[in-house]
Amino acid sequence: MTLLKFFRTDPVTGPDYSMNELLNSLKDVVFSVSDGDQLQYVNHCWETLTGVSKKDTVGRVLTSFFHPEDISIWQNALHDVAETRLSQLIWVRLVGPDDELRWCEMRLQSMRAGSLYPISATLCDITPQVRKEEVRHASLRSLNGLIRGVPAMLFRSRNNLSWTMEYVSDGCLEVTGYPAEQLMNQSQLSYGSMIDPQDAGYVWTAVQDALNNNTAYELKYRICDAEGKRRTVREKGRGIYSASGQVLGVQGVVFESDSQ
Amino acid sequence: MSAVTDQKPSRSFQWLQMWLSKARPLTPSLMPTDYQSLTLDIAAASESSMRDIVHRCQQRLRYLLRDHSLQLAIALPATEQAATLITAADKAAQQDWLTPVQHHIRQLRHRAAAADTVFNTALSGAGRTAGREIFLQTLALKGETEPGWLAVVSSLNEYDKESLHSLTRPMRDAFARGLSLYCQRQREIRQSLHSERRAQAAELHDSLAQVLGYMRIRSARLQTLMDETCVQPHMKTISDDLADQTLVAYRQVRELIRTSRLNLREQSLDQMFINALEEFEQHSAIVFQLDNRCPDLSVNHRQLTQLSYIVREALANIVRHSHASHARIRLFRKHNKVRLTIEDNGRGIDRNQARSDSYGLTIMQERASSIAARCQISNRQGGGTRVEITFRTQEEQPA
Repeated sequence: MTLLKFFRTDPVTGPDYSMNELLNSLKDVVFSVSDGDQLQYVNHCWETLTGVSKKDTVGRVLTSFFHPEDISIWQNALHDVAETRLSQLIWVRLVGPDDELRWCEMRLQSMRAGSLYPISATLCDITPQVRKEEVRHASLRSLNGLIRGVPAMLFRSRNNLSWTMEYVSDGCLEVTGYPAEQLMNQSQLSYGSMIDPQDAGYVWTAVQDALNNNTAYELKYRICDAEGKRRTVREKGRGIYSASGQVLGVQGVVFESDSQ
Repeated sequence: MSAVTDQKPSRSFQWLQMWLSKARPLTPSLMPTDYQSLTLDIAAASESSMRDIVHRCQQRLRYLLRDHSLQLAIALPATEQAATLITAADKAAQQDWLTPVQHHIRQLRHRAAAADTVFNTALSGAGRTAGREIFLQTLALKGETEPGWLAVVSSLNEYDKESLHSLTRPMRDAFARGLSLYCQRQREIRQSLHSERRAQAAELHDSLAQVLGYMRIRSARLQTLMDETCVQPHMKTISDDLADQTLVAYRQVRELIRTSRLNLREQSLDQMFINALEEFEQHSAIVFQLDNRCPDLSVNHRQLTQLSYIVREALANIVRHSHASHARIRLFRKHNKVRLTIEDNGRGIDRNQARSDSYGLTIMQERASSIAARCQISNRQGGGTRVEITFRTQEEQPA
């Protein structure tokens, strides 16, 4: 009997806070708009995000807080909500208190089954994530630009007689006359078949020696380019190894040599 | 004498006409001869004769529909020269109903589905009190990214609205075909003018550069001779000044030649920003941001060209000298003027240090003044450089 009393909970009397208190405690914005996109309700977080008080916000048109280029995103989302009756997720930019832009992820939906309005929505400030992503993207873009612009062929190949290319940079065109795509993972055309037969043995042996000794190598040999002309190239590279020391492939750079 | 031509058509004749046009839609091959000639007239029109053509069509619709208050206008998509260009038959129509039409078209441009829809829009404000409605129909223009519009304001009843639709259908086709050719012709004229101007400028700059190159060598030689032989200090000062100024002029002309060789293909400011950023993004790890708060802003071709050079010059300076991690282009309105800022968070400008790009800065300011814009180059609060260009658009030019 005592055990039963121990597990018995208090009858449900409801929380001791109001719905408004709950919404205002959220770190995401909650709002609703009526026909004409007029703001009907915003929670406390709205003030933090936009710098505009609740009093000055209610009655204003929601899109007046948007970046002008993003108004169409909202309009298209409304259209989708009306068509599909499903909630929509969009990214929009809001003008913040310091006139700086805040990136926000918004989920919006109709509150009632029969009509589009009123619309309820939540807004989450994702500016830090977007900024971080921009930096990452810029870094990647810069690296791609650098690799594309180098007047040499950067490569990563398998360690076989064909030197099957897993990756070659755009400089491939300048060095061999073939576009990079034509050389990557192709069975018809291999870099190995471009190497002059007289030099192919030397190239293979020198690379294998370097791989066995775990050192970098530097070679000078002849290749036959896309137009059938003979070119002398230089190659610097080294092996790619697994943690156990197994050779996974070869990577390096090939560029045209001035001296024949 | 029976009045065959001058009498207005009877109600039953109108009904028969409407029924026939519905039963047998007018395909291009069946387009009446007068509509074919309308197409040709529009295609060959000038800006002034376009109003006469629209006026003729308005008269025709008024006659056929017995609505003397009916008004007609056409709207061409925004080009680099101006905002949406509206030609109305009635010159006084501007305030009455064309302003809401322009506003409505601007809103429709944001909607992806606007191109193939026929809109039936009620006038707001004073127009609604007059009890009139605007029929806004799209005109699919070949070779244009945005559609044109045929706008009719009328106070027709429901019955006559049907007639209006059937009567404007062949007219709409004729306008769409004619305006496609008209726009193509205008575009070709603009391109020819632009390339001709570029060729002339490049030729002029090249010959100037040759003369200045010669003067640069001679003035440098004079400077050396003065150093070696001259005993009068004021002559030495003059020769030094001469050599310095010649060098500045020579470098400025070289800079002008470099930029005039740029082949600018942009049709709008927005496109220009995107192209310029894409171009410079490839060559650096700087995070570029674009904050264009005036996406509908239209500038004329001259403004677009000069702003494009200025933006590219500013971006080139950021990539070459700023050591910045972030750069931003902003376009916004402030105090009835448009402001374009290009700023970075780099090390800023040291004006005491003469650098090769200082010629670029001077040319940027000269380019700005050529379009009545103000260009301010300053250090940004919090570090970095800020280039601010303030200008008015055509719409905002004081009368």
